[in-house]
Parts: sequence; structure tokens; C-alpha cells
Amino acid sequence: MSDRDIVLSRIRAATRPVSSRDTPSAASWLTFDDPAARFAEVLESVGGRAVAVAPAALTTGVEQLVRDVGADRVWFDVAQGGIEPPAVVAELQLYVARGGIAVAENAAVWVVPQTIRHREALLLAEHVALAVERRTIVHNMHEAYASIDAATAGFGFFISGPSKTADIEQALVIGAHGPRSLTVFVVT
Amino acid sequence: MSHGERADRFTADRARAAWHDAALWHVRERRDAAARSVPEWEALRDLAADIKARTLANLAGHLEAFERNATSRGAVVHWAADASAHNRIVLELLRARGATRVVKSKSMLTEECGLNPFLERHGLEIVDTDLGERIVQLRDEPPSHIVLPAIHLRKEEVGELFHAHLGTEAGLADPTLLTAAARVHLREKFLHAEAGITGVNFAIAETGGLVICTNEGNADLGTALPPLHIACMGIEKVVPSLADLAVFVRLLARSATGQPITAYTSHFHGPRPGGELHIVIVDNGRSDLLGRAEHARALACIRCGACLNTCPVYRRSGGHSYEAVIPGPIGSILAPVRDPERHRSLPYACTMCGSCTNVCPVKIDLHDQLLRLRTEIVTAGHLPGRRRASRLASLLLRSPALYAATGRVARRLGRLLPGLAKRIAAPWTSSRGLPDLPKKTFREQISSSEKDLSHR
Amino acid sequence: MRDLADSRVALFLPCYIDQLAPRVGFATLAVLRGVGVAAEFPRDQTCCGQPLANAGCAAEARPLAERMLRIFADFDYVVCPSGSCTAMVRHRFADLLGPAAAALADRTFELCEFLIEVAGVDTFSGRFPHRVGLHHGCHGLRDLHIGTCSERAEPAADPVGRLLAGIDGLELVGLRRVDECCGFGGGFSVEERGVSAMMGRDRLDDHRAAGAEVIASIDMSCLLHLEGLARREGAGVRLMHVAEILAAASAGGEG
Repeated sequence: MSDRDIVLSRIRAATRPVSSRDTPSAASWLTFDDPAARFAEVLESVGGRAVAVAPAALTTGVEQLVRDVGADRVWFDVAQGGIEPPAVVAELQLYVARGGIAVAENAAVWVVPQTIRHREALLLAEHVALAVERRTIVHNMHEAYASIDAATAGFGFFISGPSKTADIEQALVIGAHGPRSLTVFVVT
Repeated sequence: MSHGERADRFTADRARAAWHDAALWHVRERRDAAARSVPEWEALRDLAADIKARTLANLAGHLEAFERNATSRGAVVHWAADASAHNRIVLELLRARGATRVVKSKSMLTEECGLNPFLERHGLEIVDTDLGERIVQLRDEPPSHIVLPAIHLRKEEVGELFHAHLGTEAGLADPTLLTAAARVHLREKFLHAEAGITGVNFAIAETGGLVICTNEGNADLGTALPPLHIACMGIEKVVPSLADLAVFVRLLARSATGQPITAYTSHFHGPRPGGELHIVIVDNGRSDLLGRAEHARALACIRCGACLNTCPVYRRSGGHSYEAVIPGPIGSILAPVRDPERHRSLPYACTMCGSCTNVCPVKIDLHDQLLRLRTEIVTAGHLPGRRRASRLASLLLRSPALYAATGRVARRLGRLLPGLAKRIAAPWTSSRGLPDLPKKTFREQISSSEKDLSHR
Repeated sequence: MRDLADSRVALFLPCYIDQLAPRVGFATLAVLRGVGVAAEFPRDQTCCGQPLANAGCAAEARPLAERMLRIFADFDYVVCPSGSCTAMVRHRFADLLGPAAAALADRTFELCEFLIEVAGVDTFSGRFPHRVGLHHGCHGLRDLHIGTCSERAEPAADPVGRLLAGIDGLELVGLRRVDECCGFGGGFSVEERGVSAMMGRDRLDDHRAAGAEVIASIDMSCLLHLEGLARREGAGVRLMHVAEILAAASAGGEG
């Protein structure tokens, strides 16, 4: 027998039917009066920063961020006129990408990188900024999974704040392996 | 050596034990706050427990669906009946592609299987990329916590370690600077890795996808850069659907660290463009656990570590005192179920306070299981001395006259044979004073007429 | 308050209270008398078997559980000044005896539970002019649900604290860890002595830092452990069972 058959037959032999129990009724999930405000509040609590901008002001906002982080190697693929990816993604100082939906309860932004290069950039750049549309902010993860198509994305991730660790004495350090800062432009 | 004896060594360093306790208590407080921020928290736990129960009731079916869907998305699924099969599969995959430099993100399963030493014996370099995991790997010791692997260490010890291995300045003990040094060291490993190994937090039957949760981004870097991704998962990691996944993603990080979600929650459906994704599904004793009616619920564990953080014993005894792959309350079930004789003291490393059961996001009946395990261990004959003492006590306590007489003898013993009394009381008096013994017991003082209390 | 004059009420007295702290038994009777209950003390009782069951010796605990069923068969209510021993009867006897345990389980109450839920006592009159730290025994809290434990995301409830807080002059102090285990745990206290002692010292420190003159609990086993530690360290804090405080308050303020 193959290991597959061994494992599956062991599992079948060990399985008991679930004892008759009532399925807990689906609770009413957490919602917020102002999801965008909650999103910004939670994002700040996880070390990120939300910036509300009008569509026309996005470019200005990005330019400001470029100055704030003092970046000279920048790649942004959100707006018209975005520059081409640099040859060495690992040396990126700032990467600005478009996010999908965002989640108020945990400040997560759903991001589906278009190529492996985009995926690397989201992790290797010193600073990352994401642009999301305010109207796409959902309340909670139940709504989030109902509104994304995670399966056909191939790879997609929820990003909530910059990378971080507290593995040395529980001291929070922002910028473990990935970006040292995460800015989310919430486009109204 | 029993857990109690190993724990005594940990508590002997009072300052360190107090620090360890305080650090983990802080994590528990953050969990409590995160739980309270979700009004439906307790209902969410009920729901998670129910999803797990139903999934385990048709585990083979869900795994087959997962395999089918993962395969159709281009992943290759392997099955391993035990740890050695798992290690062999991983080694063969690496060898076939000539990969010798491997990065790994945190996985308790590969820890359980002893994958690192196995690959090292075969000449491969395997680097744990989670900071805490890397620290304990450089120290050549196991993680002491399933989410915070190096929580037993002080920053000065990490500083010395990094000075020796990464060349940081002697005496450097600032967590930010040490983390920065590790980032540089590990980024180099990521950029040159030929394969990435990860654990799996959740596998989704209906889509064939994998979900991995990290704060550092190490699983993402370790799978985005090298062309080969090997994901290792226990059979219990499967959940039926993305809708079910939402429940667990809401619970996991809040229970673990009090965060609303981990910084990265990554969903892999098929390999990256131009790459390969291999998924190794491992049994290694899990199907035995599934067959144990009294303990099968322990398979629902999502490895959040909340039961460790709330456990007053874990917090003061440190993870290594358990001498098990997984420490704390959940580990005190998993290890003795597997090997009751070797791990017989673990279910006793518990005051039955029950806090673990209350924090468990999937509502495993942890302290009830620990109590049942004690009975199983005694019944199996692994603690014969305890059994003999209990037999005698049971006989005495069945007779009110013998009970009363024993009490009288015991209280006179101190007067008549102080040396013997002292030896008998030593385990208690090692840290405590003896109470002032009353001259007479309650029953001696109360009148034989039950309602007449005039003789008090 | 409910009239229980026609009910037959038994005192189930934990063996360690009988042997080591009989005053708590008398205080319990006095408190019950105060609410119009003349409790009887069935003399055949010894021990409920919890130490044996917790040691993993279920077979040895079972005959003791069976005795308990017989001894308390004829009573309407069984009242016990211990959350831990009550939890043993109410929850663990079923593991030993199956459905037969239900008959006793449903009639057995921890003292404060009995006062509040059965006797319908809202406030306890009397005077006890001291700062009191309330130590929540784990079994009363997490097995019997006398109050809400801190890790549950539920509205806080503390019926024992409420009962005490109603006493004139009694000030409940606030603790940093409101319901951390004291580390007694029966056999745990000697098998895991380092951790047990550290847990107990941590509890004492928390109470002392909060300015408690008296540490109170519905469980004497926790208090005996804490008292032993306090005695060794020469710490000036009194440990009193809640029944002793209630009895002292009714009697005029000193106990």
C-alpha cells in the first residue's frame, strides 16, 4: 500500500460520525458605523498609516511619501506614468501598489501581485504603500472572503501593517524581513 | 526526571522565571483585549469548534477533495504515514533539483519530524527564517513556545549569540539592532536559497489552497524567491471552505498575540509562475489520536499558543521543562497520548485551573482531557506508587472511624515523633510553614446530636 | 429572602476543613443559621475523593463518591464551604458514577451560591471594617461559574465580591491579576513545589500590593497553601474563609 492509502484508511478507521449537536447559529458579525475610520484606527495600531486622499490627489500623496521616506529608488504601478520595475527589486526603497478590498476589523488589505516581481517587491522594498478605494472597505473577514476570489488569484495575501517581530524579549520591532513601513492611501 | 523537577530548576532562577511569567502574562492580556473587541467572540469559538468537529468527522473526504483541487491547480501532493516518510520525501524533492540551500519558515510539524537534523545529516543547509526560530536554531535547542520560540531568552543572551554567529558588536543587546542584524543575515539566505519549506496554517478543501500566516513575511519571501516551495502539513490542517477559513483567521492571531490578524495572511493556490509547489500531507500518529474518543478533540488545535500564555504553570516553568515538541497544556495532551510512560508527569503539570479551556479558540476541553489522561496513565500502571498510596487512602476514607483515627494519629505524630513528622511533611514545608493545628477536629467538637450546636 | 425552614439541609464539610480549620465549619453553620437554615452534619462523611480523582486514581475515588451519594440522599440541599469540593460533586462525580451522580449534583451548592441562588440573599448585613482582597478559587470560578473569569469575553460578574462589598466597612481591594490560580492544586503543591510556591507568592504579592489586610476566599485549600507561604515569609496578612468574614460581620465586626 502507498502512504496515501495507508493514511486515508487509518483515518477512515479512526473516524466516528459527529455526535448529533446543534450547529451554532451564525452570530451577527462585527460591523462599524464608519468602516473607513475603523480601518485607519486599526492600521495605526498595527504600525501602519492610513492617508485619505481624493483620486486627483493620489499622485501628490505618493510624491509626498517619496520625500518623507527619502527614497530615490521607487517603483509605483498604481497611477498613470508608473515607472518600470527596477532590475534589482531587492534594492527598492519604496514600492507603491494597488490593493484590492480592505477590511475594517483588522486593517488588512487584499493584494494580488500581478507577477512574481510584484510579489517580491511587496516584501523586499524598504517601504510599501498600497492604494485602496474607500468604497471597497468591508467590515469583517466573513465579508472579505465572500467578496474576493482567493482561489483563482493563484497567490494573494492580506497585508495588515508592516512586517514585524517581537521574538526578542517581546519587544516589538517593525521591519523584520519585509517593509519597515506600510502606508495605505484610502482613495475617496 | 519529572516535569516538576525540571520546573524547579527553572524557578530556582527567580528573576528569570518572574520575567518569563510577566512577558507571557502580557501576551495573555493582549489576547483578552483582542477577544473583547469582538462582541461575538464566544459565539465565534463555538462556531470554530463546530467546524472542526464536522471536518474531523469526514477528514478523509476533505483531504481527498483538497488533494484533487490542489492537484488541478498544479500542485503536487505527497502523503507521509510517519516522520521518516515525510523527511525522505522532502530530501528527495530537494536532491532531484540539486537544491542544497534551503530556507524554512516556522513549522511545528517539521520540528516534530526532526527535519532540520535529518537534512543537515545529508549535507544540506537549512536555515530557519523566523527570527525566534533562527535564534534557537543557532543555539542548537528546540523552540520553547510554539509562537514565540525564543521567549525563554533574555536579549543579552541573543546579543551574545549574534556576536558569536553574526558578528554583531560585543555587548549589543538592543532588540531593534539585533533584529536588524538578523534581517541582513537572513535576507542574504533568502536571496540565495534554492528551495523554501513552509508549514501550513490552513488547507482549504474546496479550493485546494494553502494559507500561511506570519508577521515577519518570512514565509512569503521564502516562497517568492526560490523556484521550489515545499509545504508540509498535518492531516488536521484542512478546513472545508473559504467561508470557514474566515472564522479561523479571525480567531488565530487574536488568540495568539492579541493582533487582529497577522501582518501577512498568504493564500497559495498552485505554484508561482515558473515554479513548483509540493504539498506533503503527514499523519505521524494523528490518525491514532483521531481514533481516541477521549482525546480526538485535541486534533482541532490551530497552534495559536493561547493555552501556553494563560497557563500559570507554563509561564513559570518555561517550555523546555516539558521536554516535548509542543509544551504547555496542549502539549501535555499530545505527548502523553503518544507515549504515556515517557511523558507521564506532563498531565500533572497542571493545577486544574481551567483557564486553558476558556482561551482555546476551538474549545478543546484541555483541562478535562488532562484529568482523564492522569487516570489513563495510572490505570496503565505508569505510576504504581501513586496507585498504592491511593488504595490505602481510599480504604481509610471509606470508614469514618478509621478516618477519624488517622487524623488523631497524624496530629499526635508531630508531638511524639517529630523527626518522622518532619520528613513526611517535607514536600509541603520546603516552602511553606505548617498551619496551627486545632486541638480538635470539627467532628470532635460538634455534638452527636446533629441539630444541636450548643457544644461548639 | 426565601424561607427554607421546611427544607432539610446538610453541611458537606471538606476533610481538610474538618481536620485543619474546623472554625470554618462553625462559621458556615452560623452563616446558614443567619438565613434561617439549621443545617445538619451527617457524621459518616469523610472526603469526597477529589484528591484521589485528581491524582488519576478514579477507581479508588469511586467508592468515596458512592458513599457521598448515600450519605446525602435524604437531604433537599447539600451546602459546602468550598468551590472545589462542590465542583467535584457537581461535575466530576458524573465521570465516576455516570448519570447516578445527577441526583446529588443538582442539590449540592457552594455556600455563597446557596446564599445567593437558593436562599435569595442579596446583601449581607453586618460590619467588617477591613480592606479585603478576594482570591477567586479556580474551581468555583471556572467549573461552577460563580462569577466571570477574566479570560472570557463576557460581562463581568462577581457575586461573592458583591456579597462582601455589601458589608459595612469592608473595602474590596483591586488586584492586578483578578483570578490567577494560587498554585495549590492538591498533589500539585508537592509534586511541582517550585512552581506552586512561586504562584502562591505571586498571589500574596498582588494582594499585599493592593493593600489587603485580609485575603478571603470561598476555598480553604487555596488559603492553607497561601497561609503556609505567608507564614514562612513572615508576611503580615490574615487569611479568612468568606464564611468566617460573613459570620464575623454578623457577630459585630471582629473575627
